[in-house]
Amino acid sequence: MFRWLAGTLAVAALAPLALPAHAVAEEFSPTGSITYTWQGDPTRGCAAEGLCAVRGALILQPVGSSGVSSSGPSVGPTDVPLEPSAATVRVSDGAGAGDCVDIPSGPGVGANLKIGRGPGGGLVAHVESSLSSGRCAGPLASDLAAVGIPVRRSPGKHPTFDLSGTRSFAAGPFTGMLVSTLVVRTGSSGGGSLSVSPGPPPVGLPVPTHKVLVERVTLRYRISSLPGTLDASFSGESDPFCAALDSCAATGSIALSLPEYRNTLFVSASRIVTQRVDAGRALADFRRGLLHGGGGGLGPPADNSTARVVEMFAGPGGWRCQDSVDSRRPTLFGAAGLRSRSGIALALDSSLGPDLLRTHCPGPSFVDVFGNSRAVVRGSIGADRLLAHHSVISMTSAGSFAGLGYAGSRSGALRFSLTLERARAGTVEEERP
Amino acid sequence: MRRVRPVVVALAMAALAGPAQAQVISRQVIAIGVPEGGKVLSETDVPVTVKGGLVVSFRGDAAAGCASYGLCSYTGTVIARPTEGDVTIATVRQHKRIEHIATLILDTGENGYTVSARVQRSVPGGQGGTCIDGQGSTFFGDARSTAARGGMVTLRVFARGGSLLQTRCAGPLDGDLAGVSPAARVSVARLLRGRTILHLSGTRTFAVHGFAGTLTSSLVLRLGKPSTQPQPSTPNFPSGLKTQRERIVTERLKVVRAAGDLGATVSGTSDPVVCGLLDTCGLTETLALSPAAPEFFGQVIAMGPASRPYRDFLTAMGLARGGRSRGISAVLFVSLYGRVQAEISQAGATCTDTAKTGVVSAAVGISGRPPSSGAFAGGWRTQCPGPLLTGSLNRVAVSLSPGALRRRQFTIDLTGHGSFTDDGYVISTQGMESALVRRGPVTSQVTTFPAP
Repeated sequence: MFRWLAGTLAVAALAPLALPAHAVAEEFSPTGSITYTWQGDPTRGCAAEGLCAVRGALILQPVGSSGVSSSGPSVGPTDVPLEPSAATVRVSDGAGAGDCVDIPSGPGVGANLKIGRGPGGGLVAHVESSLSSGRCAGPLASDLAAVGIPVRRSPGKHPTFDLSGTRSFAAGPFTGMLVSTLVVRTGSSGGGSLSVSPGPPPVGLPVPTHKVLVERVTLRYRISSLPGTLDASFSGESDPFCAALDSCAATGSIALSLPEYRNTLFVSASRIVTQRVDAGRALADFRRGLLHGGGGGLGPPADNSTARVVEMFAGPGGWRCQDSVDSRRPTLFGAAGLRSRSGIALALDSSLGPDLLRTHCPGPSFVDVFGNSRAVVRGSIGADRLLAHHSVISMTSAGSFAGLGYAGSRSGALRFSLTLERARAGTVEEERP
Repeated sequence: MRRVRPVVVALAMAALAGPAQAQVISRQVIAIGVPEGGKVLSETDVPVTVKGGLVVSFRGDAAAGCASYGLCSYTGTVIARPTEGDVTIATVRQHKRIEHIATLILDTGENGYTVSARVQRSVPGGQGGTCIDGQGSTFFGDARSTAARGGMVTLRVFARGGSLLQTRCAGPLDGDLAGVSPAARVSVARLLRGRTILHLSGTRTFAVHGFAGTLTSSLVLRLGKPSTQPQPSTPNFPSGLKTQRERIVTERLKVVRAAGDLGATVSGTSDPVVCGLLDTCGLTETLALSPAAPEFFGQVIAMGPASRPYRDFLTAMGLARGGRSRGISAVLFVSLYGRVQAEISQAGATCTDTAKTGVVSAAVGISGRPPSSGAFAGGWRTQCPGPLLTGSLNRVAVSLSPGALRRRQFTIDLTGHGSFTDDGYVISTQGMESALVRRGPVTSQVTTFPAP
């Protein structure tokens, strides 16, 4: 009975060959890999963080020629989508400690190779992905993304980008080496669509619309962080489940704070009405929860906005690690929409960026601590208070957790000040389908 | 043991979909393998949340024959912690009887590894090494269980061809532990209702194929709300989604004979950090498909708008003349699978083993300008340490003789093509497999897909 399964695997593996011709303008075929290795460096302060004995490796390995782009490689910066196999990170924590193995990105998580002009005018590539040392000690995703790889581009309509070479890099208390054998060949797509004629993408039929009156309230707030931290205390799982992450008998704590965070929050709610209402009536309807939808939205954080993670880790055999990582302009939150009288909610959303809780020390991931749900850490403010000039919103998530290799408890809160800067209310005419 | 075939529709969808869709579709295909001559009447999918884990502790054991495989120096632990999965129950009409085929697929969420391995290699009087590895893919085996209407099925974790224990380190394979696999025997009716809990806990010892050890399971499967589709070939799409009817014409190819020496030479990478953590420093290895006749699977699939004349499809497949093939996608898929022979040398010791995990697959466009590519699949893993040959797309060249598809029989050549890497391994392909195939029966069906 084996063969039907193998055939299935094979066909799935070959699926990228058969992309519809009209779907893409250019196809990228990466071969080779990018290997990152790192070790604690006394000259970069590894002793203070307890990471001098650490050495580790992570390999980014694209699988197959599935990278496609509609922009093409001919002009300007080029984005090469990579589909790496599930990269495995392996870290030796040093004598007396053990080894840590993790798959930081999970299976099937993509990466993007951004090729552009470097400061010297030559082509440089950066790997944009969530790849990092995961729960093991090592570089952060931002550390690896900052490493530039020189690119040699062959002339012609369908160039080849040669990224082979070696680069040293620094990542917190580590120094490392990037060894690339990556070569990206380009060509016009055609895939396995074979006799399907390339052509323009299908054009949708125009949707008929009509004019309606919409009663709407739009609010703009200035949001600023107040003192507070989200805390997690953790310990390694029991043996043998702690073995993979080398977390047996480990204990530690993580604190996430926003010492400087400023942003703008928009809230919008509306309903279709049969006759115009004035601003006062619209605001009154808003207070009564009669307006819905629209939701909230956050702009990009202010330039000096910072998220800070402080971790203390005590490993087996007396190994101690402590680290603090600041992220500039962190993308942290999603804003849930206005639903009747429930107001709006802010939710910490790790899917928006790299793992919020990781430092250069080993430890649990955001998903371990807060779970997969994007609404685990959330704070809300009721509709009745939305029109107040000033409010405070608190995001909490107390409770226990049990993730891969680590278990523990959450406490603390992130607090924000909301200042209503502008309120617009009234009736507008809109085209609706 | 009955032969089964993947559902044609899903094959074609996988062939014509992008990679993201293919990941989803591959799971569907696995779940709905259908006995030859059978027809799927319905398919029920039950999502599973998994708690607990599996711990396999093993050592090379003289009584289990470790010396003959060169496995006596290995001691290790493999831990599997799937977090989610699916139980799929296909209801099939087979020779006027209704049967149910239940399949358990285990998977990881978006949270890292599912399987981790730590294997020590001892060297008498010398320094050994430790291999650490992790895997985070979808795991499954040929663990389907069939029951008559109203009967009982057995959901197993390990089965021959399974990949739950598959890492780059030395250790037992799923098939080795099939006899002691955690399993739950449950009625089809209970599975179809979902919303139940199955306990697969227990401890078993094993001594097989060079290794002896203990398998401890604390797995608990929490089955969720089932969803049933009347026919997998006509799925229910959300209302409002634009769909189109497509005809899929499939021709089965039968192998007359196949032979060759396709394989690879493997070495540990020279990077001391990388090879040190995977214990591949100084390792050399040869991998080859067994000369014994490999099994063969081949199809020619044509797909296009259902409104087109049937003759157009046959023309695109090379089975007729006079039709208009433009606008019909036609691809030849071929897979050869057989036993992998592995021989590994490291620090003066040799490990040799064979396992039926070798697959070579290829696709050839058979109309227009034919793109083609092939790959190693199935992992090519044995109990010895070694790479996972799954990232090898375009590393097998496929060729057909000119005008092959106009003949009743033709030869497909699969040739190793270039080098690639897999974590701490460098792999150079070599050799060639040739299959003489005969054209076979043609079937056609019309199904509905989301419009592009």
